[in-house]
Amino acid sequence: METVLVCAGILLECMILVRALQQRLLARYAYFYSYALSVLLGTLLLSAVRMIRPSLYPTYYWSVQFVTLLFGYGILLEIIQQVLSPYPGAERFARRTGVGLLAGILCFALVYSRLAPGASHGQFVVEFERDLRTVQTLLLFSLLAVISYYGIPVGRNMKGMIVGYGLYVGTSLISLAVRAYAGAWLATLWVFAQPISFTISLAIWLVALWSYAPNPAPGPAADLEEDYGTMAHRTRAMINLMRTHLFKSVRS
Amino acid sequence: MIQLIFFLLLGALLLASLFFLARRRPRIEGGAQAMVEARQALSALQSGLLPRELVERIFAREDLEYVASHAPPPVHKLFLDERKQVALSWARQVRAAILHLRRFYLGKARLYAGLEFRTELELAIDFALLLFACRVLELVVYWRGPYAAGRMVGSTTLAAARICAITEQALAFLNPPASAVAVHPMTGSQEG
Repeated sequence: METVLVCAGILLECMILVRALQQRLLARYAYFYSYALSVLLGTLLLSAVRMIRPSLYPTYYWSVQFVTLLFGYGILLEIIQQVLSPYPGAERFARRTGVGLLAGILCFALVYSRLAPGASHGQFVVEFERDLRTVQTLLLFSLLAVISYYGIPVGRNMKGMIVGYGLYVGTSLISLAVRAYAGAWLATLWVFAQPISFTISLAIWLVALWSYAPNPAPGPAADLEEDYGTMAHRTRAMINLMRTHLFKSVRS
Repeated sequence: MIQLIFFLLLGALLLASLFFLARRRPRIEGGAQAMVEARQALSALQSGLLPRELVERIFAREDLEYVASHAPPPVHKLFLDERKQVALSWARQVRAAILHLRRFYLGKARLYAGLEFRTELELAIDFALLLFACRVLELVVYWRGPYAAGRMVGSTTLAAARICAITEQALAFLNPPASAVAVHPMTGSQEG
C-alpha cells in the first residue's frame, strides 16, 4: 500500500512538472513549482535511502519533511502574490492579520517552551512539526477569511493550489495532533493519512494546473468622488445608526 | 486533551473553509454592475422597505382589531399567520439589502491601498452587529408575532423613518457624478 502511494505520488509530481513545462507555468507560479520540485526531489531521495540504508530513513524523513514544509510557505506567498496583490486594500488587511498572528504565535511559543515539560526527541519532532503546521493552518485560514470577506474572485489555478495544499496541511495537522497526544503506537495513522491526503492533493493540483487559467482581474472601479476615509466614515455612521434603531425596536 | 481538541478544531475549520471555497461560484465583477446592485439595494431600502407608511401598514394594529371583531376565529388565525409571514419577509429583505450594501462597500474598500486595518475591523464588527440585530428582529417576529409587543410597532416605524433620512445622507457616495451615469445591464435603461 505504502509503495503504491509513493509510486503514485512520484508519477503525479512528474506529471505536474511536465505539464508546467509544456504550459509555461513555471515562471508564472515560481513559488509553487519550487515547492513541487522540492517534494519530488525529497521523495526520490527518501526512496533511495529506503532501498540502500533503511536504518537512516527516519532521520532523512524528518529532514526532508522540514525542508518541504519550509518550501510550503512559498505557496502562501504565491496566494498573496497572485490572488491578493491586485487588491491593495485586502492585501494590506491580510498582511496585518498575518503579522499579528505570527507575533501572537511567537509569544505563545516562547511562553509555552518555558512552561511545557521536557519531551523525548521523537515526541519533540512530532510536536515541532505539528506547531509549524499550526502556523501554516492559521495563515492559510486568515488568507481564506480575507478572500471570502472581500469577495475576491479566485481562478481555477489558484483555487486548486489553495484547496490541494489546504487539504494536505489540515489533514497533517489533525494526524500530527492525534499522534502527539496518543504516542507512537498510532504511527500507522501517520503512515497512511499523510501520503493518502498528499496523493489527493497532487491529483487536485494536476487537474487545476492542467492549463493556465489566470486569476480574474478586478473590475473597473466605478467613479467615486470620495476617498477611502470618507467612504468608511460615512458607511460606519450609517450602520451605527441603523443598528441603534434596530436594537431599540427589538428591545421595546 | 484540551490541546488535542484545539488542534482538531483548527484542522476541521480549515477543511470546512476549503470546502466552501471549492463550492464558491464566481461572482460577476465590475464597477458598473456593483454600483447598480448597491443603488438598487439603497433604493429598495429607501422607497420599498423602510417608508413609514409601509412599516405602519405591516404592523397596523387596527387591521388586527378589525379582523378580530368582524371575522370568525379561523379567519383571525389565518390573518395573523399571513401578517407574520409579511413581517418576516420584510425583515429578511431589509437584511438582504444591507448585505448588498456591505458587498458594495467591500468591493470598493479592497482596492484602496490606504485601507486602515483598525477601521476595517471596526466596520466588520459594526456590519456583523447590524446583521445580527436584523436576525434578532426576525426571531422576535417569528416567536412572538408582529403584534406581540405594542411599542415595537411604533418604534420600528419611527426607526424606519429615521433610517430613511439617515441613509439618504450617509450613502451619498453611492450617487455617481453627473457625468457617470450607470446603465442597467439587462434593460439598458439609465440608472443614474
